[in-house]
Amino acid sequence: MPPALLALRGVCKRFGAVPALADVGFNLAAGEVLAILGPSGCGKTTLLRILAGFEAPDEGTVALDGRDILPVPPWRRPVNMMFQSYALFPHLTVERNVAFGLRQERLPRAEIAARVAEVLALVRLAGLERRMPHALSGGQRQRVALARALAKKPRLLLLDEPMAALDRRLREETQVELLALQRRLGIACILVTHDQAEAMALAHRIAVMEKGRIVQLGSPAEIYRRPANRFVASFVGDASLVAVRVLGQEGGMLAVVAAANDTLHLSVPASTAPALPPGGMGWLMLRPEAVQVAPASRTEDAGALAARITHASYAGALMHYRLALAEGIELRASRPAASGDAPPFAPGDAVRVSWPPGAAVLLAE
Amino acid sequence: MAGAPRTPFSRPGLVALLPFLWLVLFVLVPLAIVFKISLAESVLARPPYTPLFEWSGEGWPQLRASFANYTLLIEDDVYRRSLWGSLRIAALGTLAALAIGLPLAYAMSRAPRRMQGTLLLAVMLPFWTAFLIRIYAWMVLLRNEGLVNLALRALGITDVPLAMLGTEGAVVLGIAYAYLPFMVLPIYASLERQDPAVLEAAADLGAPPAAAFWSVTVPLARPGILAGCLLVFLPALGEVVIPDLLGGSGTLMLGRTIWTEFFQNRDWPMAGALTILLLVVLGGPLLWLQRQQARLLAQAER
Repeated sequence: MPPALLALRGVCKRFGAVPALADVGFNLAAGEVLAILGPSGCGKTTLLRILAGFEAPDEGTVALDGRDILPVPPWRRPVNMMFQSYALFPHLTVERNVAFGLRQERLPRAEIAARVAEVLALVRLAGLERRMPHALSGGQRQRVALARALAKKPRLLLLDEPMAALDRRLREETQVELLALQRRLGIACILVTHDQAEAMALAHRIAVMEKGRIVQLGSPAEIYRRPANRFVASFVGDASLVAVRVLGQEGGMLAVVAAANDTLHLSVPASTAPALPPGGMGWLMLRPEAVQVAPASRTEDAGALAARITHASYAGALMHYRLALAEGIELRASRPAASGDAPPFAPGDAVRVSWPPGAAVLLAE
Repeated sequence: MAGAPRTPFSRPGLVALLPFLWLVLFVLVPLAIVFKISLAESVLARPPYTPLFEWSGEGWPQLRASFANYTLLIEDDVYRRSLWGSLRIAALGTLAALAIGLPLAYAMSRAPRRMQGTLLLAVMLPFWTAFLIRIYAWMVLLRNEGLVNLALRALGITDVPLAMLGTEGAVVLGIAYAYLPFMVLPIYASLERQDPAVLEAAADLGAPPAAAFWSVTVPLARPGILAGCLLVFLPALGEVVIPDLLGGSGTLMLGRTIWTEFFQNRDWPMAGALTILLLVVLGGPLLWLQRQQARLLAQAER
């Protein structure tokens, strides 16, 4: 394994009595994009500020290229940040904003001009060199902030909620552009976001944080398919969660029964289930798109369960349903809306639901 | 069809008339009177100047305007030296206030939020004591047996008392002291508005704190610094009390010379001409400030 570009070990930070980070550690490879995903207040911004040098951890080590960077002040770290508010210098033109970091290095004038022109072309801002920041649109400001950080050719680029200030359509376009740019430059990035879609679209790996801890670190697909716990399952994507009690293993499947209803027997693949003893409590998770819904009149699906539609909403390509599966157990299902012959179900309809055997995942408490 | 309903607010013209009226009554009219007096000649009478129009009993009244006072302003060395003294002392006082006020305002803006109110109050606290008393206090501090000299001698820095009172330096110090709040407040206001993330961005891009201060903080505080400098420089230019109490007989400033002409020489026309001169000198920087502000406004709107 090549040595990691960035290595964090046991990083802790408290603000007064409030722990902001507890034992955070991970490696980042060169060229890798890691998304730190979590709700506000989970400590993800504190982590980013420690990497930039604006905060010092109480404990732990941070090494970049094998060297401890904690004693290095922010202005000497080969790390640059794109701020959530962009923090452009309002008194400087686009050109001077981008050149700011290079002027600090006292590079020759001609080299500064060349680098500025290069990064401005990279973010497609050529022609706006003499504009002041207040005369730019939100998307243009964001690209100036990115260009300003890229101009320094950092070893590590930090992105603090890079899309938060953009509207939805622009956000999607910018994601595509940012992704293409990152893959082209091969620059290592740490991206902080509360938007799971953004994390999935941009990152090679995602670290999901809750209350100052990394609760799961893995590829977007791992995190989506095999969430480590209930928090991750509900934070990343939509999920139905059913409280269940483990009965025992039968062949390759683990038999469970719903905690709220003793008659509702279900099963999950044992290979993916956590080691829970018979009688142990856990959560059965189902992604809405895995849940198949059929009219109650069709009887061909043997393993299907009877359910009732409680809520239906139209979302263009998809229909979102909420289903009552026996007493007090709710499932969510998303089905393609334009299936032509099959009319969408309406609230009150009796239906039968089923899912592929591997779709259900058991989570420990 | 009838027009929009009339409310008291639909005619802003009337409201704008009030400050205009105030300006005419209390600025323009007195100014016209001062200008009129400056064109007269000094006489031993009551009032101590000749009338502008003289009516010899028949025909039209005769205009008797004389620009002799203004020619004297240029010819007599005393007035030129007062003008130069005013400009020099006010400029030095402004620089001194800036040198103290800028770090002070910066420190205030970086202090914890909950302390900033107290610090602001502390800056304005001297206003609760009469101006004259505060300048008298400086006389006590600066005289030969004053606290400053006592301290200097106790520290062994000097054996003989330094003559501080009655020097131009004392006047500069007095101006810097008296007008410091006018320097601190606008600078603080412009610093306090700054996004702290901008300074972090500067550090992130490789600027050590000192470089960030000069290349980001100060340029962004420019409107405040400009306003502070003018708020100190303009009143200091016409200052009377500070040069009178802290300055020596050789400290010539326009305000003091006007006072002398008016009360000691009873030469109202000359005092009037000096006042007009002072106004013209003040007008330049004021117009410049207005142009700067208009430019900043236009920039903000673009």
